[in-house]
Amino acid sequence: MITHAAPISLMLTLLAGAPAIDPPPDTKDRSDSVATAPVLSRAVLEVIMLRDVRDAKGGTKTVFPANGPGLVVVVLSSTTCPIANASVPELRRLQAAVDDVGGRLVLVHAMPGVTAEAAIAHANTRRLDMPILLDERHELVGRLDGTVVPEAFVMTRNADRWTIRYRGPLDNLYAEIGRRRRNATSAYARDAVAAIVAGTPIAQPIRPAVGCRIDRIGRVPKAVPGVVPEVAVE
Amino acid sequence: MNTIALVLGVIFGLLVATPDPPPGKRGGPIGDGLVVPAVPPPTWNGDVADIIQRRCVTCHAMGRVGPFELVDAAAVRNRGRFLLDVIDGGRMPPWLPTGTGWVNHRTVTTAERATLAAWLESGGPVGDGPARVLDPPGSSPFRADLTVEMPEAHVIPEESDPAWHAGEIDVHGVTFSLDNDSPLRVQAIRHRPASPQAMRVAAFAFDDTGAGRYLDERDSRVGFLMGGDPGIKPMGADGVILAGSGDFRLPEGFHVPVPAASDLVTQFQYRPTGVPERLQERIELELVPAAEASRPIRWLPLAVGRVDVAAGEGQRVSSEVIVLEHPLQLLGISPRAIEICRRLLVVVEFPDGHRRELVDIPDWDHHQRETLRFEPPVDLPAGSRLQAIFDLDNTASNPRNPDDPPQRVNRGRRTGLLGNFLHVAARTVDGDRYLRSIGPETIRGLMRRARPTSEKPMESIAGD
Repeated sequence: MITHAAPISLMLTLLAGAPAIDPPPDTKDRSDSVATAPVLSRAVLEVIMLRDVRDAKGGTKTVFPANGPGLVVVVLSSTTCPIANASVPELRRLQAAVDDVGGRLVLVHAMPGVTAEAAIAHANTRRLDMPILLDERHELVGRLDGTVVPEAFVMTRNADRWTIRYRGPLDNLYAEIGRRRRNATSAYARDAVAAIVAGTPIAQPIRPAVGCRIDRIGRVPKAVPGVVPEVAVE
Repeated sequence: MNTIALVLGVIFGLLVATPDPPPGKRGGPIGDGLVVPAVPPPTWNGDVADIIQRRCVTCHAMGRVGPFELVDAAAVRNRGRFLLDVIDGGRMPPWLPTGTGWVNHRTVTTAERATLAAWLESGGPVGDGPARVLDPPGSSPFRADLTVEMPEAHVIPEESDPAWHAGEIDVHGVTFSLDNDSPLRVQAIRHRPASPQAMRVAAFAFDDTGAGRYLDERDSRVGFLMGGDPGIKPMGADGVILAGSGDFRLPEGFHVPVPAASDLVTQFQYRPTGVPERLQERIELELVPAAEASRPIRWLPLAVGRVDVAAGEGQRVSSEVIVLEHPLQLLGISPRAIEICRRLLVVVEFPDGHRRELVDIPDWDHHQRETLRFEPPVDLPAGSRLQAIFDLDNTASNPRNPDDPPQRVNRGRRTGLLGNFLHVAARTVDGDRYLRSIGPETIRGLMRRARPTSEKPMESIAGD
């Protein structure tokens, strides 16, 4: 079983020539930072240049510019995942909340194979006007260890260090895949932003995201013992 | 051919369960020198494309119900882990009841799943020749003798609106006038959704009482907000179609009887997709040719009209036992239950004392309602006792509980909050006369009952 920590820290060192990520804090610590997520240096993050789908010529854009705001929310998403698409209204509300406090929200399409054309059409249809980026080589997805879409990462900067303060679903609309609440009753990511602004602890910094699994580039699925009962084969 | 595929699939299933043999290096001596021949990994062209064609492409193709396409090797490879997850979790293909003996039973077999996993494990090779691109299967034959369509679209919001209804949401009723001067014999119903990805379920009831028309006329928009059933006939009594699952079709020799001057009242259960969607639905009816003999199908409800479950609690409720006075043939069942229903059962106790679970849905999902058809039909002799049992779970641990934290569920619907609607045919004229009366009488009984059902479930089920 390969763990993610070793190759990620190796990549960071190779790509940025910067110090590797700090060791994760004590996982028992339920402070307002995410226990299992790394603290990432800005120098490292600034090398992540994702393809900007707004630029038809294939230009790139950094998610964490040096002179940018101190609060960045990354939402990993997809053009086709029904759970991600059902979350679009909440995504717009989250964007408004982030804009209100001077932060920046970026939408990153994390599914392999998504094209710029599909991302643009998706954004136009769903009235998305935040920066929309393609992570074709899973550089950011890998560093955040993203596994499903949609998932929000609420990050703040302290000098040159970024901390993931919340990672998880935007809200509780879905309890599980295919198990959707009547309506969301908690907006976890917006609540996290509000808590950061207020200087209060985030109620639960990590929540399991519910959605469509990201098949990471270069990794193949592990076999799972079949649990589907055999039935008549025609 | 299928046997070979099955054997290969099982072999691959065993291989992928062993720790990390490098691709292309499988086989070779094991144990005491026994040599297992190297088995080439499955390929898209040779193995996997057929599985995806058979199990997925009906919905996962351009313009179909599925939210993404699975028509080529790259698309399947890119979602490989997700596909295995939803297969293992029982989410795809969508199919709720246990057991076999169903028409259109949808599943991925263990061998197919193992082949898919082995293909992904080996990097998803295409195989010989250009990669196959799959086409969705064509529609099954259908003769549209009568077509009705909404006069204008009903626009659904981008997300659910909780304001207007405390019970089911995301449902909309539409009354289609059939303008039929004489009775009709309906063999099959086809629903053509205008926005397939926004549609979950269409439930039908032919109505000659004007109840559906009354609801439609009271609402200024096209159709009407749907919180219950028009009149005493439950929605779904004449069939339920899960989007993407095909037509509602009765076997040859049976029909749904539709009196003259009837309407087709339809309950559409839709799925907010994050954008406003326009639903302008079209329904087609195939009729039994005039010269052909055919027997009418009637509806028989096993229903509970009211429930009261405290927050954080579970409860088992059951319908009244119906004792058949005439022999019947059971062709299908259309289950219906609220979100907090965990398990749904329909049992029959035959006159000789032996019992059978006609339907057992251990993980009910009210978004996946459909008519379940038996193959072959089930003979129910006179004296058979029928009952439906529902396990309700109003705790926070029920992931389908729409309320967080749980709220008391105290709801009543005169015509059946929880129900299984049996599609049955009599063998005699007297039997048909009996059937025509027992459905409405049972519903009227529910309407008279002000308190939750206290009928005890059959002993064998109560012991589960």
